[in-house]
Amino acid sequence: MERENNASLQFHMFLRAIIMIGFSLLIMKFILNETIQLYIAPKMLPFVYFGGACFFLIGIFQFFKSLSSNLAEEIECNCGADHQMKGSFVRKTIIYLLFILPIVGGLGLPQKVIDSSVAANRGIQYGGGLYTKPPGSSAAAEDSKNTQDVDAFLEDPEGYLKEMDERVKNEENEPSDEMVGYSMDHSKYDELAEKYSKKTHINVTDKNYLDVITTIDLNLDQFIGKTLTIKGFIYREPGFEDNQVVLARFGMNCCVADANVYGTMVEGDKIASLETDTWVEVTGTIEETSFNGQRMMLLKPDQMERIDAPKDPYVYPY
Amino acid sequence: MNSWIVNGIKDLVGILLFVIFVTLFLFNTQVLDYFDIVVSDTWLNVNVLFLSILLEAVPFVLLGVFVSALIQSFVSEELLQKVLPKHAYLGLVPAALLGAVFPVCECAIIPVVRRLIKKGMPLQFGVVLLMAAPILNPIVAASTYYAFQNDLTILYLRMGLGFVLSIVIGFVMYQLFKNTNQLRWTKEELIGRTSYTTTMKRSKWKQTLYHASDEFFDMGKYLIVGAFLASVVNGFLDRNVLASLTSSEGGSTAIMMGFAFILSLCSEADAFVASSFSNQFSSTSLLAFLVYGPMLDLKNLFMYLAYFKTKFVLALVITISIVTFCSIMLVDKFLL
Repeated sequence: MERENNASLQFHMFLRAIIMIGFSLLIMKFILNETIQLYIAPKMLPFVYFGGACFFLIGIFQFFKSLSSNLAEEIECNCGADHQMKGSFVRKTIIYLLFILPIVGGLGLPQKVIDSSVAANRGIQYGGGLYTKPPGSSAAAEDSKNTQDVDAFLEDPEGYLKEMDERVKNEENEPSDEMVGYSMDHSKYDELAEKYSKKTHINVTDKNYLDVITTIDLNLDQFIGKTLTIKGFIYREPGFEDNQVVLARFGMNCCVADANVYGTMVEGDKIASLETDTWVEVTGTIEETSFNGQRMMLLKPDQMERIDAPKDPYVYPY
Repeated sequence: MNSWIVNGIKDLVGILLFVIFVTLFLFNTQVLDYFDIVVSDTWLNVNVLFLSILLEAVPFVLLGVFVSALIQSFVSEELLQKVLPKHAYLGLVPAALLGAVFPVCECAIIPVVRRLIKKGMPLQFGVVLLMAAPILNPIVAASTYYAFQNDLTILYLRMGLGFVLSIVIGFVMYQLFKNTNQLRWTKEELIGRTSYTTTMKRSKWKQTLYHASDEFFDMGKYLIVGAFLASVVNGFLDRNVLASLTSSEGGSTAIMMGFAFILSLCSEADAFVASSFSNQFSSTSLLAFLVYGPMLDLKNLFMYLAYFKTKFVLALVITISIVTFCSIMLVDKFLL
């Protein structure tokens, strides 16, 4: 009985050691081939290193312990808890399979960047995301309003646009609830607006992406007519015209699960032929448009180039 | 003889697993191509989301596991009990503060509280600790801070509500059950109690490591299932549909509470998931998600049922739900 117990303990410790080492291999691989940024924002990396190191150390420690012959006595401690796993063979197997799943999935499956199908589920944020609708309360109303908008537009395009402008103006005047919850420092964007509005051409890089599009979104009037170079993947929302696309980027806070989609509306005949998810770099002139009742920047492309997806496809808020 | 064969098979299983890991580590997708397995894009997206949530949550979980293992090994419960006040009501506040000292999330606090109650800690203090520890804790505060850097009121309200609600829930449970015994006593427990005094000579540091690893495997399974469900939901669910289900603040709060319950995320990482909903849901309902989830979700409901009597758990579930919902509505009216 005593020996049997010991053998079972040894086996569990051995298995756990291997699973722990498996996790550390997984993290090591992501770090080595520099794909870790597909999963985690750079500022979270120290935590991931810590996790990898812990897995490795505990794994090695447990591995050597599992070779020890008097394990049952060795791990006797004063906690009074039963250190052995309870449950049937099937239950134990399922539990270990659960731990093996992410290791095999991570090491074995091809790594990819999340694409427009995820964007479709998340919804696009135009501009820097400062104007997110406070949802729940307004989203349903918004939906029905949109369908009405489409009808109104079909019946009377010009009148509709006028009305839309009015509505946008009204929305601007209201001290809107939309800003509540974003106690962001707007003076930062005023300064940036001053800096960028002196230029005639703005180059949007991965680093300044969110800053620039937020600045333009907040101070659109100052930027109309300037040229802009911007990268992104092509995405189309339902309800778009044939020549309309969104140039989108995923912005990641901590991990992919919290990534939001930021987009710039582009309108041009050439761009219509490009497939969704293609990466392009567009240079164009800034104009304005409105979509779903929201006033936003529109880019009229002068120059367009297909590019490879960047190694680090995400942009980071800070 | 028989057991010798069984052990041989067991060793083989372990070695095989290791070989698989190393092979995949070295060759990855080539293995997939070799076996001609094609995985659809949507599932690859889910895989990326799954790994991403795990990679991000695991370091925080390890941190919590280590600290709780240290407490397990180095702080005796007798000492803790000596520190606890004796007054039934006045003790609720320090009990909530004690929750702030325990840097463990909901999976880890349940066994600790059970031990504390067994050693004679009043039931209502245990409830307060159960509710407070997963929210009022430095690691949760840190991750909430990271996830909601743009809006720190969420962090403050989460901590504040965690403190107040834990006391309120403890108070209600005391009114309902007084200090009666609501624990289930298991057979293993009684055996555990007898072996408890046997040896104490081993190094405490080694014990800490064992505890950390045990705890990781103990709660890791809930984390993995939670992360997987969350990534499937993330990959497939159209959030605009979720948001359009209801138009009232109360409705979206209820939806987010239900969502927190089903997702069963660890409180040390749920802030990141909540922040991903920030463009579909109001900050009020996100707050409900962040406050309700740590107190009650699918995975710790199972743990409650394993440790406490069914009637008690039922009362606890109802109390938590009603108290959280009402207080969130009040906060929405007066503070947000």
